[in-house]
Amino acid sequence: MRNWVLAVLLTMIVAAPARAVLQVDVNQGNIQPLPIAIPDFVAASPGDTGASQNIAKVVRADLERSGLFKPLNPKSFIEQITNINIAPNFSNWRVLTAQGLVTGQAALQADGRLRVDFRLWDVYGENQMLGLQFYTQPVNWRRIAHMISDAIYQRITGEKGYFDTRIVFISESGPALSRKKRLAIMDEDGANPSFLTNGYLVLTPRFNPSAQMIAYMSYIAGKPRVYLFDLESGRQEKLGDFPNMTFSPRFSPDGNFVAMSLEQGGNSDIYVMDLRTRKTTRLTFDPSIDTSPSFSPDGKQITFESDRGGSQQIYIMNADGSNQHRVSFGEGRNGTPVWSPRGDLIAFTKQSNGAFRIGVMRPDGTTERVLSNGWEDEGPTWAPNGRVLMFTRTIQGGRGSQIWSIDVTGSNQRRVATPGDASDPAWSPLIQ
Amino acid sequence: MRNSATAGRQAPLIGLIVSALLHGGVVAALLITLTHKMDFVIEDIPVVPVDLVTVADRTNIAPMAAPEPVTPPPEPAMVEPAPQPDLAAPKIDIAPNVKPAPPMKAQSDVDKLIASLAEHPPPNARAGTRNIKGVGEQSAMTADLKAILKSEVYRCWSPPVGSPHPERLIVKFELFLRRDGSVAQPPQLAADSAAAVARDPYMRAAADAAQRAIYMCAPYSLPADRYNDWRDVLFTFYPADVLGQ
Repeated sequence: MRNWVLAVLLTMIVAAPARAVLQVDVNQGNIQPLPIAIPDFVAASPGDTGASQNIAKVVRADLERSGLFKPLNPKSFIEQITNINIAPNFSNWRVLTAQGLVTGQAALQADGRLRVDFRLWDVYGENQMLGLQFYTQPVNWRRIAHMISDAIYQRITGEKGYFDTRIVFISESGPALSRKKRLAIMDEDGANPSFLTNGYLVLTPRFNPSAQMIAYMSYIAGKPRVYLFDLESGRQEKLGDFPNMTFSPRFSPDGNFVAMSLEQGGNSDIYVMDLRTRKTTRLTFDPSIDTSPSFSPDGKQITFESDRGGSQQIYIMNADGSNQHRVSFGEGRNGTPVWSPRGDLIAFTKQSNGAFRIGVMRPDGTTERVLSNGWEDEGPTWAPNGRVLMFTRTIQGGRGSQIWSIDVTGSNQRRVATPGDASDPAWSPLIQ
Repeated sequence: MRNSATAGRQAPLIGLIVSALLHGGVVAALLITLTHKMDFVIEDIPVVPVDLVTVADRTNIAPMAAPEPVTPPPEPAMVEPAPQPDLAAPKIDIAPNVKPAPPMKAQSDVDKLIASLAEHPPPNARAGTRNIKGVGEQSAMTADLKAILKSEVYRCWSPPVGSPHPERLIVKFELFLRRDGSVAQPPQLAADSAAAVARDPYMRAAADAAQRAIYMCAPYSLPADRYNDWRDVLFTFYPADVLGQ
């Protein structure tokens, strides 16, 4: 017993700090975009100067667009990077207030491929945070730039990026009474826009999880039907042969099912089709308008809108149609729910006080927040990381429609570059 | 009557013509319908060449050819905490204070522990001082120092926003400061923070942001005559408080 007491005393004596550690709790901050220096990449072989400059330019634009980074003006740089395999002189970058530094090089290989290396440095910690290498055909330099942006974004923020993605949308042109609406696709930054259809009215395009197929509603042959469009082959097919209108399609997270609405006698209900067997199952039976289904990321639940309670509101049910219950109880009407790929939020269109706004709430209906501030904002779509939303903004006075993006925090609201008027955006998953 | 007979003879012919026209009309209608359906089937959709590139290779970049030149600290002697008289390693003569075990008797576990402590003192072991202050007194006396450090470091701290659970991203950093208020060596993550950083990229991003803040706002303006009170600092960063979540 004496020994034990002695041991305890001894331990206390030996381990007792000589002085107290000063404990400081920091619960205030100064949220600012991260200043980051991204010099033009080193052209490591003759003939690839263009790619080395263009890649850095696209990376700067990507990161700036996110609102979380502040790429510094290359003209202010003191040090010129000539070899990315030698550590930079960090003090030269600290004086510019850069907290991050990206150095990279592009080199054409003997086999014709482009090799791109880059390193991300912590300027204050004076260590390398990330280093990656890519090979591709030179024509794909832009995708490499987006992948570098994604890697930097992920390392700094902790979540995956969204720059190597595409947007499908409805390109609108012509007078209001004979508006031409075509299915179009472009990179997330607005580059490489192309039209996928020509001449038929199309609405509500949605990507499948591999980003290679699009489901959408089209008025081909005068009847609104859900179609599938294969981006690789350019082939499209009608999804099922239903007697009445089908609309508002959405893929399941595994890509094997499409949930959609089917209208019969003024009543629309939600159905789900197994794409492997083409078997259709009806999920809702209410004598009201049930539409806009969207799967949860685990595929176990579906959120949808319904006016069964008297006004348009958001509901959730299990993927087999059971346990249907209302989750939105806020002011006004709420529709077009879309479950975040991250699972933590549902985005929706809120109609109140004569305006349409984009809002988010938790799947249990709590902590509702209205994000956008336009006159008519609707139809949200999530970035694959669940961090950013795009939506359609109709300009008051019939001055057309545009696509806008906004951070889930409500900041960084900005217009997305599109060729002409555009609506109904759908954000692809990260391209594999 | 003649006309009637003529009409009677002509009736089958007219019927035949009418029948032929009707059949022809049906066939034409079918053809038109089929043509229309064919229009749908062969709808002219421009095939857009979509870039489906697979990046051929993607690996961690090769280590740098030349060893990374490490910036030597300006005061090499200060990289380790400056030795202080009251921070000397635990005295080896602790053991003699304990009543020695009988020489021929097998050592008890406690004896082994004592011997082990004497031979291998814990790395963080420090000898006690006579002027250790009570907790309450310490807190009161250092409140101003905490306020100074907090007010200086928060200006440089921009925690990552938008993570799904900011309340989980509490980061603790231990650091030693030099007398001039600069950071003596890279801040060390507290054990619980380090474990979380290793498994959670959000936590790693939060730790990076906190470390940047510590470096950027250094050196800290603190009273030199009270160096012993602020030499060892434990910063705890609470992102959720900043984000209002």
